[in-house]
Amino acid sequence: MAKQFNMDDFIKSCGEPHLACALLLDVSGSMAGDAINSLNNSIKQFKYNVSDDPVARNRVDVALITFGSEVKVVSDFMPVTEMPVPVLRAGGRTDMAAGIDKAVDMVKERTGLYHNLGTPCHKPWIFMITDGLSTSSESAMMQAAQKIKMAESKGSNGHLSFWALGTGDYDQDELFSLTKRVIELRNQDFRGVFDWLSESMAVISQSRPGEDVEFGTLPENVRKAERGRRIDEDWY
Amino acid sequence: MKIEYKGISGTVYVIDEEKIARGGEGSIHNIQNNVTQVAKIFKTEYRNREREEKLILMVQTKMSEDLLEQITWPQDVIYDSMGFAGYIMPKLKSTDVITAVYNNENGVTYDCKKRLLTAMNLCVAVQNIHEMGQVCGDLNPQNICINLDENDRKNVFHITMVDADSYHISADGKTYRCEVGLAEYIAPEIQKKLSEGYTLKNAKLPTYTKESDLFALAVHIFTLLMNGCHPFACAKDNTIQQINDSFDKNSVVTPQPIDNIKDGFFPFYHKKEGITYPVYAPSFEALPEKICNLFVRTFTDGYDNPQKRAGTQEWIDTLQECAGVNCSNIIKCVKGHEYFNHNKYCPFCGIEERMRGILILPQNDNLEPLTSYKAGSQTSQQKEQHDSNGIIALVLIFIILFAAVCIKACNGTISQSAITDMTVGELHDEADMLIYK
Repeated sequence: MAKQFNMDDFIKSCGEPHLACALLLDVSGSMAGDAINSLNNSIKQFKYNVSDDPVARNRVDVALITFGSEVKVVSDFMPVTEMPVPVLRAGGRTDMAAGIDKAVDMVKERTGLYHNLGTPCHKPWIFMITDGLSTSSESAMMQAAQKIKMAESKGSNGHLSFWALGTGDYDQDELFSLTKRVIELRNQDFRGVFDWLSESMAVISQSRPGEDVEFGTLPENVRKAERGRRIDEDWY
Repeated sequence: MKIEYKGISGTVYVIDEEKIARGGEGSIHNIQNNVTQVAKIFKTEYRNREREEKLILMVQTKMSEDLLEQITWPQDVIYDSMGFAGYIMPKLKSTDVITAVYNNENGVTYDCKKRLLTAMNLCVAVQNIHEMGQVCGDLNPQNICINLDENDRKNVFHITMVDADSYHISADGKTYRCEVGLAEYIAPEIQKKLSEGYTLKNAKLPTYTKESDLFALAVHIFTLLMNGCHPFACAKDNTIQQINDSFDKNSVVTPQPIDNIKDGFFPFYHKKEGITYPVYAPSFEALPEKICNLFVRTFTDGYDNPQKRAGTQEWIDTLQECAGVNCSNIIKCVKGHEYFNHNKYCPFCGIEERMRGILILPQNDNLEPLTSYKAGSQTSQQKEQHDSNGIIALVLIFIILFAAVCIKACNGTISQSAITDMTVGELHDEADMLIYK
């Protein structure tokens, strides 16, 4: 028998400030093998870590979106404790622009929901992971970049934090055209970066308004990208 | 491994290295052969003279056993070979915090009677601290523990205040400040100082006061009685009036609780165009008038004059009176929700209806509905309901558009194209917000 839905499937602890985080994941063919396996395990660990935090578990809402040849909403925004743990498979092209388009729309929708309900909220996150060059058309990528820029610049603080994590043959210029928050992963081990992400979610969801949030140190295999510097260059 | 610490009282404590809890400033450890107490060991960077002095002062206050059940007051200051290291305090019976009641966590629903009991016990705990001549300061929900063991009839819903070492302690003309706080529980007079660039460490005293505690206390009582809703949270008002505003690029957005605290805007009592109280909360009128009056005094009158805020005893008396003898003023609806008997209809059934309306209506035509992630497991009944909601949505859109045209016809300031081009999706784009970070 199928289980009926209850309110907690959508949103819980309406009265507490919420933080929406969309994970936008590249599942194109190049991710096959170790990369996709590590990603699957890391998502599981991410869920476990955030759900384990007594405050963050009530406040962090997560959506999973993948992009390969097409965009797929693996799960819409829901409390982190309710999110499914998918087994993602890699294959196909890299329609990044369509993925971004979908993720930004979903974040806007979620924000709208918070406002309609009267649920306080923090600035939402989109955390994109990619290992290659987008196969979307140039104009589609420009539109996606524009869409991020619009969402990030609205209001006094901006209404979105878009992060891009590149690994493998990712194109640095392409990611920098989307956001200034570009970080790179030296190998295909996603564990550390997801630990960092869960820690960041916990810290932000409990932060005091107006206070600068101190993120934890990036794991050893991740660093802030700098234009013109290649992965594995000066990496020790 | 065990480590020895010596107390200022002369007692030697053998402490387990294993942490039973950890916080930003230090960690909590069990003490060997001692089941009633625990030790808090500070990280090296937090071991300073000021903190040591404050704790030495606190342990001099003699506390009865009963009082120690209500607050984990420091009982001994401890030292290792390097010097000051931490302190000894009573061990908590339960580490659940009050948000479990706010949010009906772990699948348990806490009804009105239990929430009233919790509120009254919180008042008693704060009152005890005030009677000691001290101020809590950081009254955030993580510092308010509650016994949720319903088999423990004598102690269930009893409150224990924790993190007492951060409290705002005054003695002999010196104040040891509470230097931390969660903004949603900080009174406006302190928020004003903080928005001028000061911190709780360097703002001119007074920062925390008994009156600022009474502000936080009222926030907790409100949250308890109003289904977990913060008194300064607000929602976008999606009534017809709002459509008119949405044409303006600077249209009304919903401020966050902290903004409303600073502005003294209490959305359940004050009216502002385009803003209403949250969907998941009952209306203010669902509370007895006497309780409403105390909230208005605390949040509105108290904005200009903190002295006007309702006191702890006043809260206890009023909550008790409104509950009635044996809670005779609390009634139950067919669904089992408990509410005050002056309500014509069950306010909580009303919330369920409103929530359902917002959660299931598709928000944007381009998007899959919220239920899509489980679409395969939907029952046909749910699908039907979904479809009928879609029809209701269409009817609503029609009504809204029609109303917009009417409004336009009345004031003639909006272009025809603006109205016809308006879609629900675009309306949604206007739902932008003021954000914390």
